[in-house]
Amino acid sequence: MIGSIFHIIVPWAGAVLVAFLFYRSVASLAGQYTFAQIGVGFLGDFRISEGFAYVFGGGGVVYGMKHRKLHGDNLERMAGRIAELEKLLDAKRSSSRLTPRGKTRPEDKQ
Amino acid sequence: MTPLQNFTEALHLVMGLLAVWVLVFKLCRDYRIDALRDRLFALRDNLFDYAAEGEVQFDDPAYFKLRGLINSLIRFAHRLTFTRFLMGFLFTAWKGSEAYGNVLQEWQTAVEALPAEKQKKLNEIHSAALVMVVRHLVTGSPIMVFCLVIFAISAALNGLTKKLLQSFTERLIPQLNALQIQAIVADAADRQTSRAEPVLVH
Repeated sequence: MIGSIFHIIVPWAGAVLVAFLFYRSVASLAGQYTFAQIGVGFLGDFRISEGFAYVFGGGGVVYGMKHRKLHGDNLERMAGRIAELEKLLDAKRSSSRLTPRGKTRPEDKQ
Repeated sequence: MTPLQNFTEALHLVMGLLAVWVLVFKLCRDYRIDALRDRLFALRDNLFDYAAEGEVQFDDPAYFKLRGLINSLIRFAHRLTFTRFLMGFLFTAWKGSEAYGNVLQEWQTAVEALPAEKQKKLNEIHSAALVMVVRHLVTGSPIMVFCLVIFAISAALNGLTKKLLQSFTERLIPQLNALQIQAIVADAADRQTSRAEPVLVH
């Protein structure tokens, strides 16, 4: 219970801190600039090197997620067959009780 | 720098921080859990192959209890964290290890009933599972990484100091022999002269 609370507090405290930093930076501009000016300023400040960094980072995330999906698909396709074959030797074969894609079941998450 | 430039800089920073947040608390966390589960699945396959070769029966408690343990670790891999480890450690210190029942003891008893080489193999699989869990705990916690680094440095220094002392001692053996002989001669001489004196008890 305490462990679960700790694992909720730490990431969300980080998210709240980021949101607070964003709020402070917006609040400092209140009444001075329009959203259009801010948008143009933000895009105008964009350097090509930064653009490549964002593309690289975003591309890496997309690549990782695609690979993860492929892994899940593969697991779903193979796990059933392996279990059936193993049951021929071990009729009382016990399972890890994960989902067919190898993920935590919703009722086990807490 | 104008206030607008300051703001766009801050916006870039916030976007970067958000990306890092998603990377650390979502993507990396999910990957680490999947990686641990994959390694444990491979270990469970090893155990199955060992039983399939006829080395141990599928209905032997030493087999199915160990398989059950690995299954539990796979199922609850998302709960294997430093915080829970710490809580468990404190709970065990407070209540004693009996609080967790005798599940592991039952497995250990079943293993002890097997021949020695089979005991060795099953204990190796059990140890490998624990090493995987410890590796998962250490790599997931900055505190554990720090503790491991300190432990590694102290172990390395300790080993190095011992080796240095040993090789230094080997170099000094002729001088040490003389020292030892002097001590033996002095002791023998002292015993000769003190024969008539009363015995001292320390």
